[in-house]
Amino acid sequence: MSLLLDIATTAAILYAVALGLLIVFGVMGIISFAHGAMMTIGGYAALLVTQEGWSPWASFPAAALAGLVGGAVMERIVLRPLYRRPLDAILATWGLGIVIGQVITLVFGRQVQFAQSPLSGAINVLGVTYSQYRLLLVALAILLAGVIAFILHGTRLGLVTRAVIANEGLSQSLGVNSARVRFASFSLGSALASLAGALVVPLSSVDPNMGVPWLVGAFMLVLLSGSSLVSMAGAAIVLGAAQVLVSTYLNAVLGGMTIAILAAIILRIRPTGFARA
Amino acid sequence: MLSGSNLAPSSHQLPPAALIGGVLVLAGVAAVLAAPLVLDIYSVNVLTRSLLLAVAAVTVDLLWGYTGILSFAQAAFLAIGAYALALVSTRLGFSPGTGLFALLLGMGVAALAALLVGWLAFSYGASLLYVSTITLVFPIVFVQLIFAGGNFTGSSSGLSGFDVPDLDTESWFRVAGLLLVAVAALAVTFVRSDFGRLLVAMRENDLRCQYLGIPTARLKVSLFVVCAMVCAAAGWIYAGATAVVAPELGNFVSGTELVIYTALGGRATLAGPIVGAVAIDAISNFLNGALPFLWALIVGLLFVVVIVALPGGLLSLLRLGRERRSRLVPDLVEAAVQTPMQDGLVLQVTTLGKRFGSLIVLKDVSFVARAGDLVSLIGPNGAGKTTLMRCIADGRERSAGTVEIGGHSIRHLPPHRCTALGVGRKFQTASVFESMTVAECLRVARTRIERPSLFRRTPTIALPAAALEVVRATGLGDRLGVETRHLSHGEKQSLELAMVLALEPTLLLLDEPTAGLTGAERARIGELLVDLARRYRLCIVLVEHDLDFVRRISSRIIVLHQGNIVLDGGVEEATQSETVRTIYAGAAHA
Amino acid sequence: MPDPTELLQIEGVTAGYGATMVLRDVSLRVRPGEVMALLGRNGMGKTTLLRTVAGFVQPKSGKVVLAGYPLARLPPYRVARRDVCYVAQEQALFADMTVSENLRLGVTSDRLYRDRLPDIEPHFPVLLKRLRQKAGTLSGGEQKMLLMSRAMLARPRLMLLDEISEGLQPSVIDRLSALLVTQRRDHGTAILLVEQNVAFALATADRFAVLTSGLVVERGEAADTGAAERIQQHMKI
Repeated sequence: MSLLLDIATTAAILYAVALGLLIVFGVMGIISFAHGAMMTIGGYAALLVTQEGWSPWASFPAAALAGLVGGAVMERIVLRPLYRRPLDAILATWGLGIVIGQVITLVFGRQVQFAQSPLSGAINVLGVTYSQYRLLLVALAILLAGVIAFILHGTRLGLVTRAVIANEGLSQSLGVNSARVRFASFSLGSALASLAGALVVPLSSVDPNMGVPWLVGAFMLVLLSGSSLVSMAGAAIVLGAAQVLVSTYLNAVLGGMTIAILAAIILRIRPTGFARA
Repeated sequence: MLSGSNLAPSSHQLPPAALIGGVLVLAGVAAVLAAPLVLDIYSVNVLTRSLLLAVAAVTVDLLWGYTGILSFAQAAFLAIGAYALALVSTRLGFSPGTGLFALLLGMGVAALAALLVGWLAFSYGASLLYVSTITLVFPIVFVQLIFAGGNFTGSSSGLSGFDVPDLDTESWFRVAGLLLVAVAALAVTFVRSDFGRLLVAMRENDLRCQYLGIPTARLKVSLFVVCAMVCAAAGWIYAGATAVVAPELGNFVSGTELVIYTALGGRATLAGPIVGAVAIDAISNFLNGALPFLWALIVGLLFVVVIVALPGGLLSLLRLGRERRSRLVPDLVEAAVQTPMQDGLVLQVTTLGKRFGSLIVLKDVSFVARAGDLVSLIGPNGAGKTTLMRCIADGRERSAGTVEIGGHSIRHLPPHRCTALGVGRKFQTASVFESMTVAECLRVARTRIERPSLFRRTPTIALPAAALEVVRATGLGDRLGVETRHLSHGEKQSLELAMVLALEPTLLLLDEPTAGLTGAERARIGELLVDLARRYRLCIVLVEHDLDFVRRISSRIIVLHQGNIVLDGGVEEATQSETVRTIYAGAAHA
Repeated sequence: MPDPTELLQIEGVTAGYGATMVLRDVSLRVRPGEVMALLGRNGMGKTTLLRTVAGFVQPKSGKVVLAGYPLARLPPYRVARRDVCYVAQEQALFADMTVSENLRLGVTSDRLYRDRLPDIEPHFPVLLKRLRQKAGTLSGGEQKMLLMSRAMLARPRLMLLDEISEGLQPSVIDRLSALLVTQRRDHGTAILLVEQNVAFALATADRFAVLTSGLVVERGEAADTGAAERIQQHMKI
């Protein structure tokens, strides 16, 4: 039972972390290497909230806001000129990630710090004592997915975004300013990344490189999902399960590699991954 | 013979380039030997490491700048070489024997790892993003494996204090420097050779290379393996010089730093990564306190600025980075044709079908074509003509039926194997290599038949008579030294035709050869095609919209409509046919 | 000098892709509320001309002027916002989206969509019953109906239609013809109609032009006797 919960929470965390990346990939066709840095920004936003003595719940909106602003600036200044050079855009996001990491180091220092968790302690779930916060994460991941799904399918902006994802040229011929859609998508994606950072901080700690270990797992998840929120949920569950099972029954270290290797092999065999062909 | 039509003198250009190269190598060696005499010991120490990172950066440039493969794994290969020496030395102590063993072990493991990563990454149809992501995964796996090794590998603290060759700091510097000079010299020779042009061709237009019969995936894996071994050798020296190894040496942060050095210094220059690595790495080691972070910040910012505004890297500012290509314009000579002239059945298509999910594009298509035939495939938009072409040239495309070239079934062979069976495919949009000269494009086109040299630019290119005729008739013979991006559309089409003919195909597939051509150009290409079919007994199948052109040159016409063959017969029969007229007039649709 | 009596002026346009010039010195004028048919065989440049007007292709020389306003260098979405509706021949629909979503994307706000949806009733009532169906699952004819409906909802000044009749049954083509004439009469929409179906084109259009190898080789009034023959000269195999 606790194994199932582990799988659920791992999948939920993976999903939350990769959600922003998925939106950016769908709309802009690039994988943002700055994603880890945006998560770190979110983590430090949570830290600031703790240091200011505010309610830990405030860390979520604070992180999202920081990510939104950061993403907007990045898109406007660096990514827009690279519209026709997607591989260079990806490299540029890596550079930006480094810059952000160094700025954070200069401002906050290198040491590992801790932010306060909004919810602590454990509760009894179906015969197993389990961390409340981790369970909350599952709920939050589902909530986030729901919100994004609502925006995409229930609003005009979402409709237009889906149109750009499906066929940018056709959208343009229908009067859609796709540059603005890209701007909005990248800003939203960055906000989600930072939010994810704040979400994972209570599980471990805050340091200038905290986002880095999540990067590759998130990339692979997105590559496996194409542009589909649903495919990504499926992929998150499969990869999360694999990691948990390997970590539990074999070796924790191997568990850390599982996602990357498994995803690489899946993509080799089926380049479309989990997405419907 | 076309040697008289070259504008630039040819072969006596070679020696001066080799001379300059020789002088540079000697200068490099001299600098390496002399430097420790003028620098303080700390600098020598730091520079030794920088020089070895520069070796790894050179491999990054070879893979990325020249071949288009963005690899984040090179640092990991270097770390493999370093760990090999550290582990062997820790277990067995150091001796010339164990040292050699460690070197071979490191290079061997790196080669195997590169083979595995290459197999994963370079499958046909893999996107560039996927390739780079796989090369990102490898260092992560490497680091995890080191962690998993516990005490054996030193885990996160690394290994230190192991026995190393008894050389002083200055000597290690010289060893590292000489390796760099050697690697740089070999790399420069390699990229300037005919094979080096092939790398650029793969970067610019991998698909075209496949259809020229070049096994691009295999070549990329081979290059990747060689680069991995070079990095491992540098790693061996690294471990020897520093007597410390740690997982950070090979993690993906180090891997991305090599990419940054290359990008900042200047891609596709070989000098760029060297300058970038030495400068950035050395400087970061001379900074104290908070400055290293500031420096890393500045480097990061510079990197972003360079990517956005100065893709050629900083060297391009000095205009040194520009790849100076020799003015060598080779002579064209006639080659002894290896493929005998055909007679009889060249192409046999039987009940070929193609569907995309539930959408049926081609259904039950059967026809044959013989040597000397000039078959035109016509039909309205969406009839499936280009799809049919693809199914003939690529064994993996069709959903049903068989295709035989000269009696050999193409089964599920990828394009480069179909080309080996005799298929020459010319694309609708002139698919050539934009940054290469006409002569270089022709040279690459001959790759399947004549292996390119790894060391030199051969001064002559041997082309079969058919290709030579196209070159002569279209005036390309006077433009051999011109970069193809400066050619007119008609000239590019002619060049592509010549390139395909250089393959000595038995079956020529042309997709809209007259697209975008002027009336005069159409007439000329029409004459050429008729000549090719008649004199050289080529079997030509072409897709066309220009019906006057089709009527003038075809020996047979096949009409395709909504995925089916509606008519297969002579020109007269097709022009008189009521069915065909109806299809084109659009008065009634099925 | 832009002529106020012309809605669309194409003057001396040379355009193409990369080094390939598909259009050579093409000149064409469309008056407000007129249906102009552009005919010619495949690969002769008709689609390229529409894409040039729509802003997807930048002309190498010449100009394109809409109601006195030059369209050169405008990105496609800006051209669309100048009340130009371009219906491409291929990939003109979002196959994975519903009929309703496709229609909504044809206008700039959902409010307009709701207000104008009844416009479709007299012409394509069957569509209104399929609003929740995925566009990709519609038949070929129904997809064309959807495209026309989307164009109608936009109430543009100028419609650019690329082979809208392709793949349709004769009865549907007749209805389409009537629809376009109504559109022109009731809403003053000018239509540049690219076609290979000569009968449909002549039944619908006021004037015609024939494009061969990137040049206009024939022009006239659709009502002229002998127009069909003149056109067929250029179309036949």
